[in-house]
Amino acid sequence: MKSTDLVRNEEEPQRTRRTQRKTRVTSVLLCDPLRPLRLTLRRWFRGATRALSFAILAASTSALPGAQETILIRAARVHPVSSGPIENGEILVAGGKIAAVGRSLALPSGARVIEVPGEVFPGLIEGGAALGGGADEFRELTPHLRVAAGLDRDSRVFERALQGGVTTAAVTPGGRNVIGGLGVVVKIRPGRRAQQDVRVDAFLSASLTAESFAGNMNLRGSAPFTFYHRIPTTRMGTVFLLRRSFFEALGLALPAGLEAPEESTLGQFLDRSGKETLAETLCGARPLRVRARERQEIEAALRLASEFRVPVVIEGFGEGADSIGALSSSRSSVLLSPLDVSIEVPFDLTRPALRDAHRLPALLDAAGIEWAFASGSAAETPLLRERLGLSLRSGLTAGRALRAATLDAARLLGVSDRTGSIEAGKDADLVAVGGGGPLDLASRVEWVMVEGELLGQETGATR
Amino acid sequence: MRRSAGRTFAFSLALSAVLSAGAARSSIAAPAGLALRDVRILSTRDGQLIAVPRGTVLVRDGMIAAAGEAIPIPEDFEVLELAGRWVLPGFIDAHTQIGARGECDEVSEAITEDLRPLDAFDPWDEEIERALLRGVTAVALSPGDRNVVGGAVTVVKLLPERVPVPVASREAAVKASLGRAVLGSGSFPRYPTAPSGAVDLFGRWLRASPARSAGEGAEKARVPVLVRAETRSQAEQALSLLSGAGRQAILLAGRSLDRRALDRLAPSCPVVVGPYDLGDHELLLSSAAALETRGVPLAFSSGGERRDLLTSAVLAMRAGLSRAGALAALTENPARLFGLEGRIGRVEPGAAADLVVWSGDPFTLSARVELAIIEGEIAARAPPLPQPPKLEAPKKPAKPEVVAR
Amino acid sequence: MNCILRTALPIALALVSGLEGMDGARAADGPIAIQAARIVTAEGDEIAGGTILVESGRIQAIGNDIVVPPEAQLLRFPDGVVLPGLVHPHTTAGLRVVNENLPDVPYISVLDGIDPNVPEFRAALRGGVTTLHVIPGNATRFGGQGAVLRPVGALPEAMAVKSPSALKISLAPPSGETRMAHMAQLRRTFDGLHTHLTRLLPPPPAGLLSSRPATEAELAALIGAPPDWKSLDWDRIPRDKIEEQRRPLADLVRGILPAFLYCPRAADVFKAFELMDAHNIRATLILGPDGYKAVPLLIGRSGLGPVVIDPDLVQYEENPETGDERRILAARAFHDAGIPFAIQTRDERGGGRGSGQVLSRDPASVLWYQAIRLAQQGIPRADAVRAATIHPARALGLDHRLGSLAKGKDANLVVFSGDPFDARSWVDLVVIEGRTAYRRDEDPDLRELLRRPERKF
Repeated sequence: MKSTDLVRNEEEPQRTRRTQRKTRVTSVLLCDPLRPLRLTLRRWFRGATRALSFAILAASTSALPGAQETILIRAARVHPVSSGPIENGEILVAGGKIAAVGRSLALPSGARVIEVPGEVFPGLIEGGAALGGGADEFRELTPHLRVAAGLDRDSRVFERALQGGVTTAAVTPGGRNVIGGLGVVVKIRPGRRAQQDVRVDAFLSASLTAESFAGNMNLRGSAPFTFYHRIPTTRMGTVFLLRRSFFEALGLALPAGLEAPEESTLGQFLDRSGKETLAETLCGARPLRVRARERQEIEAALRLASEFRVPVVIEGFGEGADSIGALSSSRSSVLLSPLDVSIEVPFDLTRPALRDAHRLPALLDAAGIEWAFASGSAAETPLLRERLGLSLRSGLTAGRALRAATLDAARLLGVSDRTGSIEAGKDADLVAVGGGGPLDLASRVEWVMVEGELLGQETGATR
Repeated sequence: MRRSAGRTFAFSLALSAVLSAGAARSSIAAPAGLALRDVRILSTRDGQLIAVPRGTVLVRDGMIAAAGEAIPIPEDFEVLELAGRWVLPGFIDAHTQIGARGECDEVSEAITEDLRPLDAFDPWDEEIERALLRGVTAVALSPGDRNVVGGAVTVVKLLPERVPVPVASREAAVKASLGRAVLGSGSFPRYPTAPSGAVDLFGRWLRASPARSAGEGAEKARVPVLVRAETRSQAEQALSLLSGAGRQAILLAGRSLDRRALDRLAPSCPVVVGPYDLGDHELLLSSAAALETRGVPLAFSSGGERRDLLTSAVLAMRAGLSRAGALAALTENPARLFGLEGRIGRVEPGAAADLVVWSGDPFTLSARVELAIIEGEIAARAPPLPQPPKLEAPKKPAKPEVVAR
Repeated sequence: MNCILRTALPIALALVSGLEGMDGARAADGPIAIQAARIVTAEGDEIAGGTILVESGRIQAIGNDIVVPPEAQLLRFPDGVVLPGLVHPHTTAGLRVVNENLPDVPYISVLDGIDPNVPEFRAALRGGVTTLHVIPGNATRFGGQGAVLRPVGALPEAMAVKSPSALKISLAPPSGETRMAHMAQLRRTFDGLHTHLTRLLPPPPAGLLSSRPATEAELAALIGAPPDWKSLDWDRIPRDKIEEQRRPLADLVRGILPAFLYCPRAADVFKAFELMDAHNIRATLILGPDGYKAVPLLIGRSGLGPVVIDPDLVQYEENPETGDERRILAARAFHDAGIPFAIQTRDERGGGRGSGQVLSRDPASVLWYQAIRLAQQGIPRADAVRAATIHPARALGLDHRLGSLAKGKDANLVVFSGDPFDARSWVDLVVIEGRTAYRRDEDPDLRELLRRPERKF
């Protein structure tokens, strides 16, 4: 049995051809109309049972020894993020969860006390980075491939991210494939066998950046024996492929211009599981993320969003200052790179539109658009806190920047019931730093706690 | 030292004399069986060491008829006087490509489940005799690591210069791998090119497998899958997919999963480890002991040509593996893994007479194989050791005559 | 007439450009008084709420109770913090190609290759750097001569503070060559120099040897041993007879020209010491990523100035067998051992666009950001300031002139809008040799960045 047979046999040979309809109407009708209702109900239910389940969980804690400890943390300042900073604040941790946060909490007997002369804030959340390497590049359209399947959880990138104060991360398949696959949100606990995936198949990642067609070669070039001889080789090709895949997934007749000659010349096709995954996503099963940084990439993404009436999460958005109007009408949200937002980082004089990147937080806030921070690359994730510190030069307050990397990111990733702020019932994911403010560049991470387990309290020249 | 070397030499001569006499006799009347007399027997049963300090092994029709102390030897049996040498069951290499001369990786496709490495096996390969003289009598011949599903794993006895016959009629296992070597790239254009693609393909193959014809498919579906994983995450993915598909798994941890990774993984399926080298870190060598403590069935692999299976076991012993565990991992465990329990891998009545005669305790690495016997026939015989030259004592100078005056 | 123009014109241009500075028009040589919330001098304690008076290019007075002359221009920064102008000890800013193709080119000078119009110099001013040591890169054996520059001036000659500053020597073997061949070639170069110089010596008086010049063979016999520089009588070697291409090397072994010696690995440090001892070289060591391992060697060495440490201030060391990774705060290792060190940056240039007009987006290409990271590792702030000011100045042999704020020194200073270790602070003012070189409110690049007044911030 050939591997290509395995993939092709899953493809439906006959497409359900429907008569000509406008896509705007079709995408709504094609989707299960009850789905949004079901999703909302699910969310309410989850929220309502959180308080109840916490009580149960507190009693029946997980099997890990570290998480059993009851710990009282006393800090010069506690930043819950969901509310204002607390001077001389205290946090009580029990069973891996936050039991209470405030001032002068009662000290339970047998509890360990940790004094922090500086600040304590929620574990940082990486909004999106390719921490598991890239996607399978054999084809450009791989919606069904799951990052969770290929992720090496013992990889050093997680250790380093944790040392930098990042406790939760959305792992993306990178930007090399036009549709890279299903991302996963993980709680970073290196070496722990306990549940680490917080949300599997949490989002579908697509890419309109130059990365997606870089490395592809024209069929007319030499040595046509590598699979890199394929579409797209231009930005037009990328947008074409993405748009066509949406039509195919939804089972719609392809409009003129989108029909392709035999697939062998394009080398790109969507198999059945790919179509299913993409169709589900377009109907709201999970967010659709599109990597787009340059202005025309963002515009293309927003055009697709409005054509198919699907909200998108735009990852990058560096040149998006002029596209904010189009964003709000499509209920889309944004993941910004903290480096783009900092001014002092020398700017690229050849990209005029990038100049306004430092204004994006204020513009997005003014337009009421949800946004959070995403580093984009595995090398940047351990430096997230430092990049946040630099982003303050753009005028962002420390509180706002911190929120963008904690609670807002948690909401965007759909994990805000578990983490993202210091509130009773949430996981005890905390970071302690020296004094001067949570994002003070001149202070470093002293320790990190993930679900009640303390990691890293060494001092001195070696860690 | 010299004395025992001399004895060995003498015995080799005697042995060959006896055997040639036996051969001459065979034209007249073949002996009814073979008796190995005055041997130290070491074997295992269900993980327990069975040692007989001084005993006899009787072999008839290629099977072991009796083994123990004070066993009477029938008249018409050919007798090998082994004067205290050790007899162990032949080792079974749980994963190797020996004899295939590098032709075990079909790279054109990622899934090649109908390939049989037996088709590439060359019985005239010198490695076979060398393996015999290192105590290995049977191997699980397996495709390489370049395919997600590579093909059949077959257990074959190492009979040099004979047509290879698998020990069991059906394949012992199916080889799969999620390691780096299966991944294609721009210069090696083949799907998959990333770990997520490999896992996806493996999953699809598992789902598609039972959908084949009832007879052959059902048979095949009962065969265990020997799957290589290079990281803990790959192992988790593979094992969960296999258990989800109701397939039996054997984890080929090789040299990649050290004790820490295996502790985190906590597998309940059998694990094949090795090969180990002298320079390996304690963390890697102690994984065998850790698995033994957990009660996980363990076997060793030499990983291909030119690697000694026994060395891996001895190094694992140095890092904590028990003697019984090491011997079981070399003999009865791989037999059980591949569905051949009781047929090979033990020195007890009813098992095949795959026996190896050692000059001393094999686990000291200073003993050598003298004879390798497969199904009652001598498959390999060690050449005599070179003897140091005999030095004559210098003649004493003659005492001068003293003439009294 | 023509030749007058040819000589006079460049000088005139240099003068004019030197006078004007980058942003033009603060042509005052008159006194300037700067009042700020804090003055960090990099020697001794900070001064709270003090004033600095500069005139004629120098610091005239500094303290709380100084007398400000009425004609002085008074600049008040009520929340501002004054620091000495930052000194970057080892950069390739301004050079488009940082390594020559040939391995042994001690005679080239960066002044011939610097483009004063590259954005790195404007970025340096924006970042508070008043002194840059531009020197060839790490990929040649004898890379050439560097120059200490101020980042203002239309021509490299106008920018130069000290030229030649040092000779770049690298112990990193070029690709394809082994370390052994590299070191052997270094030795051969010095042997060749010695041969050349001894040949220039006037012949010894008659009686010892004949009055003819020494033959090849005799010289070769002399050269069998490593060169003995101490016994070389420099006074008797006519300088103009020394081959021009070898002159910088001669200055090196004579002690006139120092070296900047790049050691890619910690193991190269003792090779560097060998070279320095054998050939009488005064050198500043530029260390590589694992330079922290050489700390015990550096402690034991007397007379060594500050070392320049690798721009990656945090190092990771992997155990190849267990896969474990150790995180090492490399800068802290130097500090804890009491070794004075200077920091440098990662390459200031970005890649990819080809025009050379792009700056790196990596914050580690900004010198002050590196200093903040020193504080992050637990190094006291005063020492972090020193690592970016007086220590690099000492490594360049210019600490009598710059690197700290003291009466009589060059008036090179930076005013930050707030605590310099707070990322929200900006550089408001840069003064170089008594003249305003940069003001944030007049920075054309920042203005370009922050325009569009309708989008209020």
